[in-house]
Amino acid sequence: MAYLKSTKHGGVILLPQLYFEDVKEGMEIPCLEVGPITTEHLVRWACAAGDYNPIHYDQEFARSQGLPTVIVHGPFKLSLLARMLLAWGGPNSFLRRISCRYTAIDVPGNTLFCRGRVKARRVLGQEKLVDCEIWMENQKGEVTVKGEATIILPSREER
Amino acid sequence: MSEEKLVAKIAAEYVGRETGLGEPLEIEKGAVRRFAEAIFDGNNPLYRDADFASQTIYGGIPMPPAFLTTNMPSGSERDFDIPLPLTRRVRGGDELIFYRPIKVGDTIRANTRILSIEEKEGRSGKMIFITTETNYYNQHGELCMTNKVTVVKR
Repeated sequence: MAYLKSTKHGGVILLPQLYFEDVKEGMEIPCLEVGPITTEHLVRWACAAGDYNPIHYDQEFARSQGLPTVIVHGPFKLSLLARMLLAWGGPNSFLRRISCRYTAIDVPGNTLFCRGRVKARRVLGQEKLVDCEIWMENQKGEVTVKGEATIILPSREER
Repeated sequence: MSEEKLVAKIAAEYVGRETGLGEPLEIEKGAVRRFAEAIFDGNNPLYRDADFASQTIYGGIPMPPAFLTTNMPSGSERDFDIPLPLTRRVRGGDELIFYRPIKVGDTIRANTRILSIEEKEGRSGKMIFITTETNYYNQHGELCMTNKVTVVKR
């Protein structure tokens, strides 16, 4: 079921739902493009996530740590990949697992491309699981996160 | 003492240590909304409209997946003041596993345990990898989430 919802502002929001039966091995997950990232985005993340390591907002400190400038938080990048997965899966999808290795740094000015591909689909008890390969690239084509995720989807049979 | 022996000695002393369940954190609606805005998902009704969210499998406004990774005092090797010889620190990776939804109004407590402290030779010299595991429990004592964090000191 797609969710149709009248908002307080009178508009209607449509959030399509993905079903287990719609998914095929090798399928690409729609890319989520974010950026260019600014230091404001990093400060917003720092406040929202409570991560005040100064390598993310203090340039002088970041350089003293051997970094070229302030860098994008790893869990921020993980969060964007999770958002890509849940936007694809729809409001009744559940993220079971996400793992990320932060293989290279990203800095302000970078545009981040969240990408993913379906590796396998499987049923475990009542759960319909989709295993995905996920990664992040920046505008220079560098892969800066490599990871895996498993998302649980509803089945059309249970509608 | 050589650095290698020092790291082994610290590992023997610290691996297996736990923080114990710390102070609880309530998942607040405004905090979830600000987090959603920070990940460019501020218009998602799941994170701002309780009526909409109540019709989904979550039955209420859910916590965005990485909300707790750094929002609680417990959650990484920093909870332990490990006396390592290297000070530069980067986060190498996260592995989050979700067992059941965490929602607005839930109260979460966390326990962090040190899994390993290992020295490796990298391209830019010696690096120390510290792995911790944090388990997050709700107000009913149910395990909701685990996060395995790898931090690299160099």
